[in-house]
Amino acid sequence: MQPFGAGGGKRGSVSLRLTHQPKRTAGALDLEPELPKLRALLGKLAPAREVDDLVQEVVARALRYRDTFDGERELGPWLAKTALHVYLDHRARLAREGPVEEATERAAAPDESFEERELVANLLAKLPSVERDVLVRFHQRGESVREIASALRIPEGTVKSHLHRARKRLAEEQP
Amino acid sequence: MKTDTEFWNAVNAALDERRDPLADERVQDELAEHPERLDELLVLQRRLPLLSRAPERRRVTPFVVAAAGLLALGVGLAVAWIRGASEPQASIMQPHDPGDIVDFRLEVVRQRGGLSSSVIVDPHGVRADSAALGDDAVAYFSIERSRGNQP
Repeated sequence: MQPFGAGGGKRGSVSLRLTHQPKRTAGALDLEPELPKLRALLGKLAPAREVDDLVQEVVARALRYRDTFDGERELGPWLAKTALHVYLDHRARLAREGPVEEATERAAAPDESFEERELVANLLAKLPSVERDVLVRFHQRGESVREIASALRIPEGTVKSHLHRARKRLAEEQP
Repeated sequence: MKTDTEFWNAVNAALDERRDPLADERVQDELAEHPERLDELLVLQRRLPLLSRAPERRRVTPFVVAAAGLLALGVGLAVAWIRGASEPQASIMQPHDPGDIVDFRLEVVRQRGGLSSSVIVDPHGVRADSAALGDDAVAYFSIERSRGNQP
């Protein structure tokens, strides 16, 4: 599949300003300025070799469903959500066909993966013991919130609070 | 949904139910408005599966330090006892000789929920039925010497 805008001439030479009649406001679905943002968003999720195809699919889907776009709202978020749906559909299709190279796996090359494991170990060690305990029980041992609450003799709401704080720390901590 | 808090509430709600946050409608709405938040979500999704593969880092608690010290002491006593047993006895006792150690026992015990874990050091060696002693462990130490020549 040819990347959008590639093929006959320079990339981006094809005009994407397409006239449409949205429900409330007549106007143009000006996709071209949104393409870099779409490419960046999908580039975080999918391998580079798949990004052009995904962007093209987002554009095709946007055109197909342009009548559902509310012209009074911003185009960017609508396209971004379309892109997320396209990515999830793409991932589901790949999963049906064979092993999926998840964004999480793609982002971690072997060396990086080793460093990441070290980092995760350090982050775990730095967590307050109750947060570490709850996080490991839920995500590593597969225990339910109820089981953890019962084992630690604390309310389920408290388990969730610890779990949520631990996840956020795990996500925010930089190497 | 404008705040970071609401984004994380949506992410956590999905994860609590073991669903993919990316497939969650509220998370998607938030990401559509704030695509930059995808970075932290991807970091989290990359790190969570590594929890089970992360090398374990145990915190060094005061108990662990104390237990290590006691164990070192126990091993030292064991060595002294073995040497004392193998060396010929001096025919003349030295002044203030405290006497030989004829027996000793160091035991660190932790009891929780009806289960007991312990580490024992005695002349026969070091025995442990569990390495996972917690902060609530108790150490017992006893030593027995021959009479010696102390008053």
